[in-house]
Amino acid sequence: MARVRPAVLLSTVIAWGLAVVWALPFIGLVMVSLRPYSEVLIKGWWSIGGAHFTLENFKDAWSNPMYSVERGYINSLIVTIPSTIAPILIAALAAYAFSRFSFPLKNYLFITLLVIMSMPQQMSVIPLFFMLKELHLLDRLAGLILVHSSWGLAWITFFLKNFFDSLPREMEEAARVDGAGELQIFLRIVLPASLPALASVAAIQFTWVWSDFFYALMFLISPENYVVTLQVGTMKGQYHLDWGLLSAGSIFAMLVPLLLYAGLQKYYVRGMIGWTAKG
Amino acid sequence: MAVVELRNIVKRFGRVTAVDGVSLRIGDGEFYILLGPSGCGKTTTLRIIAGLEYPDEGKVLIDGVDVTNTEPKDRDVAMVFQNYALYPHMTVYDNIAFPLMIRRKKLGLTRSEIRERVMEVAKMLRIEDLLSRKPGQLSGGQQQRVALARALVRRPKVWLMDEPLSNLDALLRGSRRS
Ligand SMILES: Nc1ncnc2c1ncn2[C@@H]1O[C@H](COP(=O)(O)OP(=O)(O)OP(=O)(O)O)[C@@H](O)[C@H]1O
Ligand SMILES: [Mg+2]
Repeated sequence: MARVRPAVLLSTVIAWGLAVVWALPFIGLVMVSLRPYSEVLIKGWWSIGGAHFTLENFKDAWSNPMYSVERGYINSLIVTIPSTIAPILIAALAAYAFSRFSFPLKNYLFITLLVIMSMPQQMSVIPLFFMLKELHLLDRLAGLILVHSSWGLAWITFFLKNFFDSLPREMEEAARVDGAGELQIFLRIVLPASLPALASVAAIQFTWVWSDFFYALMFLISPENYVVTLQVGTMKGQYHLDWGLLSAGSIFAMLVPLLLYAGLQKYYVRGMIGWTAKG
Repeated sequence: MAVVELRNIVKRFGRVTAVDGVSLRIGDGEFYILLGPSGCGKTTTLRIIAGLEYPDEGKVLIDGVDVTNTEPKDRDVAMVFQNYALYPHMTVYDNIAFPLMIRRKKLGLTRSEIRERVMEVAKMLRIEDLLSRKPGQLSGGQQQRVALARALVRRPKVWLMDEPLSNLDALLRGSRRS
């Protein structure tokens, strides 16, 4: 029998302990969402003996006209997809310029970027509110897309600039000698070679926008415009709180980012192996 | 092929003078080798001929035309980089085909003609089995042969090779010479 060193055993036990503590609220959430609320209320979600499992909560959460998650999903997708793609495209161009070219005021512009990044969202909300109102984009998904996209620009530019700085210049020089112009180099060499970085940025920005509650709460007013995070909020009735329903709604809301991460994780690994050329 | 002429080329990086008054003339079809200790300016000289660096003094002429300030893409020069500079996201095949694909219209090549030329150099350098791999899955010597193939697939005026054989095994070197 292989002997296990006490230090290894101890650290394994601690790691598992932490993992369980970490996952416990989520496990609770899943249990509550899968069982009739009355049963959870009486027995507690942790008692598994004689438990009944049902998808009622999910069905109700998805399609109840009062707080349909379906509607919220559609709105969330309408907001999140452009708010992920648009800033990445624009920021990639800006980041490439910051990384490779010299132009007047470059350093000041970059510092401005850092300052914007360090600003809390709450500070910008009132000016943004009036701005959107002036533009007649208040209570419109387009307005929220605009806000999220611009908010994403700063950190994505910063992130991608750092990544572009780390790409070997010779790769672009080889393309230049091979006859590629600036735009071709960017589109056919730099962007594809940056796919792992772009995937990380996309995952983070997507999750951020999808999970946003604050901006959505401030800038969306009519319930038919609610994104899924706001929709889940409305499930909490004024006098009655159905935890089963709320749990199902929450799981719906976090499902998309979770799936995205699961899907992209494989991709990161593949990207890292296939991309890095040995020198 | 063409005549390459350097006239009194000087290149400085801050305090370091990387190339100090180099003049040379390489005849049409001539095979010319720059030899020197590490750091003496071989790479810098090649980069100046390719147009990746601009000299502080002096002139570069290709076929009698002053190209000192011409962009690399307009010089019709192919180059093998000392560290290969392969495109990491493309397969070996796409790496080799890239210089032809990027100027397919200008060169008047069809896809099948490009394929033929890629296969030809791949066979010559014995990398025809590696064509569907990515550069990250190759050994150093294999990467170097891909870099060589990417230059040889072209028909440029000038081929610049920065230590193109350092990693190739003797066997292959023999077959390259013959
Ligand atoms: N971008 C740069 N910035 C500053 N100094 C540089 C730069 N490129 C080259 N040098 C310097 O110029 C000199 C010549 O460099 P170069 O790369 O041309 O040498 P080399 O002959 O190719 O050497 P090796 O055989 O080691 O490849 C070296 O002293 C090097 O440190
Ligand atoms: Mg060198």
